Order: sequence, then structure tokens, then C-alpha cells
Amino acid sequence: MNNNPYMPFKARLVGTKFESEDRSLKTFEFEIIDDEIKYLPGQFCEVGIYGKGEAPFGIATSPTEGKRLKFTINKAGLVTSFLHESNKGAIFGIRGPLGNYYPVEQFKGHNVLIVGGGFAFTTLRSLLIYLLDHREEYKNIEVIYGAREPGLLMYRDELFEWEKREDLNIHLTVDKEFPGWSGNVGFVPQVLERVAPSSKDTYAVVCGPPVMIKFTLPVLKTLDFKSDRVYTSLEKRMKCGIGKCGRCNIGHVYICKDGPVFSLQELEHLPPDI
Amino acid sequence: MMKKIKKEDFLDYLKNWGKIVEIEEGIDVKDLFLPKEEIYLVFHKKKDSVEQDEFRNIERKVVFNIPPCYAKSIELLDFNFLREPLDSFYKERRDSILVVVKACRNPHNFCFCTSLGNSPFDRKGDIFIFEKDGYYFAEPLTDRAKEVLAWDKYEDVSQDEFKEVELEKQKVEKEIEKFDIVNLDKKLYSVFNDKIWKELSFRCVNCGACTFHCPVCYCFDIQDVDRTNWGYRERVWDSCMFSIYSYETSGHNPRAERHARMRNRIMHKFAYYPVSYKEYQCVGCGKCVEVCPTGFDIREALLRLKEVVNE
Ligand SMILES: Cc1cc2nc3c(=O)[nH]c(=O)nc-3n(C[C@H](O)[C@H](O)[C@H](O)COP(=O)(O)OP(=O)(O)OC[C@H]3O[C@@H](n4cnc5c(N)ncnc54)[C@H](O)[C@@H]3O)c2cc1C
Ligand code: SF4
Ligand code: SF4
Ligand code: FES
Repeated sequence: MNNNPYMPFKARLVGTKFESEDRSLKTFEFEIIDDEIKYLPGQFCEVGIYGKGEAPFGIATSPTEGKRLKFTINKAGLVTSFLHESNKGAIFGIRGPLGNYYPVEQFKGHNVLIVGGGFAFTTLRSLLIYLLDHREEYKNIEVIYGAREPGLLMYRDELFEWEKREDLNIHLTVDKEFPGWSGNVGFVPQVLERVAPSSKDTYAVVCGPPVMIKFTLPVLKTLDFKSDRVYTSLEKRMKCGIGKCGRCNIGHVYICKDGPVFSLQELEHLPPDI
Repeated sequence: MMKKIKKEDFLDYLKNWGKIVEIEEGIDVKDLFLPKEEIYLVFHKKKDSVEQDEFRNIERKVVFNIPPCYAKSIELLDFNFLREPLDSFYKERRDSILVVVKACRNPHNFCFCTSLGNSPFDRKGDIFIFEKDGYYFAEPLTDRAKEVLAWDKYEDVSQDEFKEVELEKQKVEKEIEKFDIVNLDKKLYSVFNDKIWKELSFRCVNCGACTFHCPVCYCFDIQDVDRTNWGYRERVWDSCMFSIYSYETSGHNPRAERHARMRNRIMHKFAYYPVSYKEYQCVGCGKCVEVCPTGFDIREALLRLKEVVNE
């Protein structure tokens, strides 16, 4: 990171790709100019458009993929709309890496269960690729990923490649029957219940919309996952990204600096201010 | 050591150190270290590139005659801004401003510094002074204060004079309302879901005056200003009492309700800050009481909370 945490690295947009059929999600690939951002899965960056502002996005690439960074971004407000209209070659200011990361060291020698929903799959992609690139260090890897409809599943080409792999179990699901879809049908928590992965020696990472999280956690509990073995990544409105501006607190903890990754056990000790 | 120095001489030394700024209000003290509006990045857009420069506007200054509570508030700001990652803008200002604290001999009706374990005669800042008949009794408290003048050249205050300062201190301390809020911090967690917050925030109109005037409230926003081919990024004061403060683009807002914001303001000061730094984030200056248009009184709130946590 720069000496001054408020000053961004200059970055060039080198590629874009629509990630969902409704064109609301787009993946942006950046090259940091004359520098490098070293990160681990789960960390995020503030991506800034000079003159418009900055917004936080989870890093969707794994550090094992090289120096370029990808973010998959939902078109939502000011910054994200401008991003969606930007062309290759444009210059942005990126600050990062920010926040903590999934405890990949701690996961070593264990099974890892990844449960994702909707467009929160970004840093889960990073995590999954990281684990696969260090495959021998982890035991079983099980992934459950769902979206409302097939067209909203992100990174589809990769998902279908992963489905073919022997060293990974991936269960894709969509909320309801869809012409041409032969995979699972049902909400993520239901699929989790059906798959019923063993909690023995297993860490679970859960990211998705609030309702998915709400119904997934009880299932994990019935499967006997302990709260210090379940991790999630939180979001709050952010500005500084470094624990200074005060905005993203839950109790004394700042999501941007002390998070965004927390175990359920850590969250149990915080006031319910989410 | 407390030295006796002629007023004019002392002021000359300070002038040599930096531009003297005489201010009274906590809001202005905070503004010196964390300006209301601080441009920190200037950019120029070229055809295929952007130039960005770090922008700084920092001057050597002496903040003169502030009461000890406002020097204490700077110490509390330090916790946030000097911890890792270091806030370099704040740090540079901190290093370029000498803080000269004057014994507070005229507390007002809203003061409650002693309830927080502070004293109107606390030795705070770089130099502590007490004014007497054309002289300052002055005490250097930091290394850089020792370099402001050749202290050894001056004689120590006499024992009688020293006693006078002590007596005055006791007299002023007695004038200040004192109540006990020791150990309130941990108990506040138990009333997080209590209806007390609705009661306390009932009249609040979310104007944010309490937080802007508070010398320890530091929340800020970051904004971009776009001109045709250039522009800048700045940080500006913000307030947790505004509902958009925590409003997310999805529409979700964890503190959409007034009482949730009041709760966060009070818990941040009296429960969360102590977890991180072992101190309340309040110096008892009473400014928030003085400026609130609806008469919200943090002293009453704390006493009410004390009742509720003990119920
Ligand atoms: C750790 C983290 C990771 C994220 N990862 C992704 C991601 O991978 N892909 C994605 O599409 N979105 C992600 N988001 C959400 C994304 O940051 C917001 O959608 C984005 O800030 C909206 O910016 P805007 O300028 O388009 O919207 P506006 O409504 O115009 O927002 C104005 C400003 O509000 C702040 N803001 C508003 N909503 C949020 C929010 N939910 N979280 C944080 N700041 C907010 C930002 O500072 C933004 O600049 C993430 C948020 C966090 C906190
Ligand atoms: S009394 Fe009010 S204004 Fe003064 S430090 Fe405490 S909270 Fe801030
Ligand atoms: S000054 Fe009073 S009315 Fe305004 S936000 Fe603070 S408590 Fe509410
Ligand atoms: S975004 Fe500023 S404190 Fe977290």
C-alpha cells in the first residue's frame, strides 16, 4: 500500500465482460500502473472514478491468477453506473487491498464448504480458485451456489468447468424450474439440507443476500457446524475503508478494517446493529 | 516545573514557533486538526491518462489558550487517527500545531469534565499556563515544548504561587457539577434493545449540531468535485445523526430509525470507544448540550441510562 492510505494507485481498465444475461453485472479487469496490489481472497478495494467518487468492491480474482485484478460489479448508483459505461483504457484510482481475508491458513488440512448466493459470489470465486491452486493443502471442497435464474449465475463458463472436476463437488441451483436448466432447483438452504455435508473437520464460508444467510445458518447448525467454523463476509456503507471515517461500525468493530470477514462466533459478541 | 514568564516574552517565543491562533470553541479546535473541508487529492484528466497529486495545506501554528478539555479531546482523536494505518494528513497537522492550554477558571453551566475524571486544571497539551498579574506560570509538558524557549533561564514559581494555583484549582473543580458514570460502558451493552433509546431520541430532529460541535466527534465523508478537465477529492465532516450516513445503495439502512442513531452516538462514546481505547469518547465540555435546539442533555441521558442499566 502507498504510504498514504488515502491515495489511490492508478489503474487501467483492460477488459470488461457482462456477467449476467440481464446485463446488470459486469466484470472489470484492471491493471495497476507501475505497481502491484498484493492481497488474499476476501479482501476488497475502493475503486474510484476521478471526479465521481469511490466505492468498495470485493476482489474477484485470486492472487494465484496473476497481477491483474477483477471485480464483478452490479450497476446500482453513481459510481457503479459510471463504471458500467466506461471503456477499455480508461484510468481509475484503486485503493487496496483493504480489510481482512478468509483464513486460508487455518483452513489448511480441513474440508471447506462454500455456500454462495446471487452476486455475492465474487470473493468466493477468489477463495475457490485460491483453494484449487493449492489443492493438495485442503481436503474436500464442496460448493453450493445459487441464483434466481440460470442467467444470473456468475462466471458460468468456469462453473461448468468446475462441475467436471473430480477434486471438487459443486452444486448449482436456481430458485425455480427454467427451460433448458437441468441442474438443481430450489433455494440454497434447501440444497444445503439435501447435500448435508459433514461438519467434521470442515470450515464453512457463507456469502449471499441477507435472506439466504438467514435461512442457511440454521441448516448449518443442524449439521452441527460450530460458530467458530462458519465464516461470512459483511457489507456496510463505506467511505474511507481503513477504519477512520466511522461509518461502517458494528459496536467497536469496523467492517472495513476488522472485517469484512468474520466468524459467526465473532459476530455473536457484537450488538445486533446490522 | 512551573516557570514564571512575562506575558509578552512568552508570546514572543510562541510567535517564533508558529502563527498564533486564539480560539475558544471546541469546534474550532477540531477544525484545526481535522478541517471541516480538506482537499487532499487534485487530479487533471488528459486524453489517455490522469495526473493525480497529493494536496496539502499545512502551516505551523500555535493554538493558544484552549481549556484542558479541548486538549484532552485531541488526545482522544489521536486514538483514531494515529493508529494503523496512520492518517498522514492528521499526523502532519498534529506535528505542526503546538497546543498551549490555559487553566480553565470560568466553567459554564454545561460543563461536567470532572465526571469523566478530568480537571479544569489538567496538565494537557504541550504547555500548560496559568495567568497571574502580567505573568504566565508555564509548564512544558512535551519534548517539543522544551524547545520553544530556554526554560532554565526562568525562575520557578514560588511555593506560595504554586499553592495559589492549587487552591484555585480546588475552587473551580467545586463549581462543576459532578456525577458518577464509572463503569457504565460494559453495562450499556445490556440495554442495546431497550426502549430507553426511543425515549432519549424522542425530540431529536437529527440536525447533527451536537456532533459537529463535539470536539471528539470525527466522522467524515469523502467527496469528489468534478470540473471540466480537473477536480479534487476532499473529506468533509459528516454526522452519524443523519439517516443517509449509513444508507446503502440497496436501500437497506441499518440505522434508519432515529433511536438507532442516537444509540450509536451514545454507545460509540460510552461503550465502544472504551472497548478499543479504555476511555470514554467525551471530555465533558457540554457543548452538545449548549447547541442542541431541542434541549437534549447528554448528562441527563447518562443518568437515565445509569438508572436503566441498574434496573
Ligand atoms: C466490502 C464490500 C464489498 C463489496 N463488494 C461488491 C462487489 O463485489 N460487487 C458489487 O457490485 N458491489 C459490492 N459492494 C457494494 C458496493 O460497494 C455498492 O453497491 C456501491 O458502493 C454503490 O456505489 P454507487 O456509487 O454506485 O451507489 P450510490 O448509491 O451512488 O452510492 C454512493 C456512495 O455510497 C456508498 N455506498 C452505498 N452503498 C454501499 C454499500 N452497500 N456498501 C458500501 N458502500 C456503499 C459508497 O461510498 C458510494 O460511493 C461491496 C460493498 C462492500 C462494503
Ligand atoms: S460533552 Fe458533548 S460535545 Fe462535549 S465531548 Fe462530550 S459528547 Fe462531545
Ligand atoms: S443537536 Fe439535538 S436535535 Fe440535533 S442531532 Fe443532536 S441531539 Fe438531535
Ligand atoms: S469505511 Fe470508514 S470506518 Fe469503515
